[in-house]
Amino acid sequence: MASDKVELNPVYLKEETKQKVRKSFLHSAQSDLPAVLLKDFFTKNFYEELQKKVSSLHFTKDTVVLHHSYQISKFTISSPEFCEFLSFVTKKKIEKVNLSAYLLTWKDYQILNDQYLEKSGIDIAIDLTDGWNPEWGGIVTYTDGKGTVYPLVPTGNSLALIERKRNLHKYIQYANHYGKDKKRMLLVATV
Amino acid sequence: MALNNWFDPEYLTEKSVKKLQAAFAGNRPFPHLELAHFLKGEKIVELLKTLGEQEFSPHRSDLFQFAQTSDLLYTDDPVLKEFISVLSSQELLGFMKKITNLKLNGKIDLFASIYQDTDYLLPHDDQVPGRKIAFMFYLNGLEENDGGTLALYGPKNKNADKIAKRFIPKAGTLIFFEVSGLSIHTVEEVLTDTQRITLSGWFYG
Repeated sequence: MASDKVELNPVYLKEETKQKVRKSFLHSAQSDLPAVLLKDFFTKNFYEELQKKVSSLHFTKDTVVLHHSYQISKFTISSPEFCEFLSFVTKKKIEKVNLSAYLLTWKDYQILNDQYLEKSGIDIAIDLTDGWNPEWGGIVTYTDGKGTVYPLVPTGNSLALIERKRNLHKYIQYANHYGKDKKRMLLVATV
Repeated sequence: MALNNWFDPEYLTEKSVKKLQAAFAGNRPFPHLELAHFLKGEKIVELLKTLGEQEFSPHRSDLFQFAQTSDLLYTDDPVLKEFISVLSSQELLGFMKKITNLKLNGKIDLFASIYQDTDYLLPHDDQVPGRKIAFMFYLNGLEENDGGTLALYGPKNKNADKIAKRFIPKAGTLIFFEVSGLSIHTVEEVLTDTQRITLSGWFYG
């Protein structure tokens, strides 16, 4: 499924905001976790529409026990407004974004495994879950492999941009039984 | 070092060892054994008492969440030192070698772990150079609805995503298995307000 029309929160369309976000993202390159988290990224109406679209995708269970267990599908965003925003902030030419849609429930996880190392790049993570308690697990987490971890705080209607350098790897914390009646939906891509 | 002081002597007879040898090799999805009541009741009490004085640190990564002691080989505690001497003794190594038909060099690792509500160990195979046998002594028992079971996965390329066998922790039980590319296992999440207490480690060769 694809979305060629996206409504960003008008705040993020202001030149001043875009400049600030770009500066913040590019300056973060020197920090341990080069990243920005943009809250209330879409308009409320579009966010709800996006949640509906993604939750209606056909998800398939994908399990490789030594690496991951989750339900996954695909979703593409080709909206010029969205791509222009990302291109501006990241200074990379982005014309469309092919995202993996993740549906996490109890017992799902993704662990680090040398056989499944991802190429470095800029991760785009759109959080489509409201009211997810971090204590339930299921958190996208970055690690430098030396014991320092950087969990992405679960925030509905947020967009996170993370420059995943060679020494930075991501995993998904095991989703525990306290969230067993809940579902966590995420869109993730690397550009 | 008298194994009889620590372990059920019925397991240690020649006749029993022969039976265990056949069972170990024949057990699927990969060679393993579960020896119920192997550790004597009074030793469980002694070990639990002494572990109550040890420091357990929270361990958390992409793969696990539980609390664990540091490597107990360096402990000054007399009970744990004796237990380690027993595990490293020629008598016990001989017992394990006969059952598993694996060459062991006497080196072991030993840790105590406590799993509580939501703690887990995700699937992995334990392979590290030199590790031959993984073992765990359960120091307390859990019910099925508590979680915390040791689960063994089916063979690779066949049912690698399916759990083939589960073991509910029972006080005094010893479980061990041969470490190999096949030995994919997990400790399933603890689901209740309980503790799963084990002494576990590896025999090297």
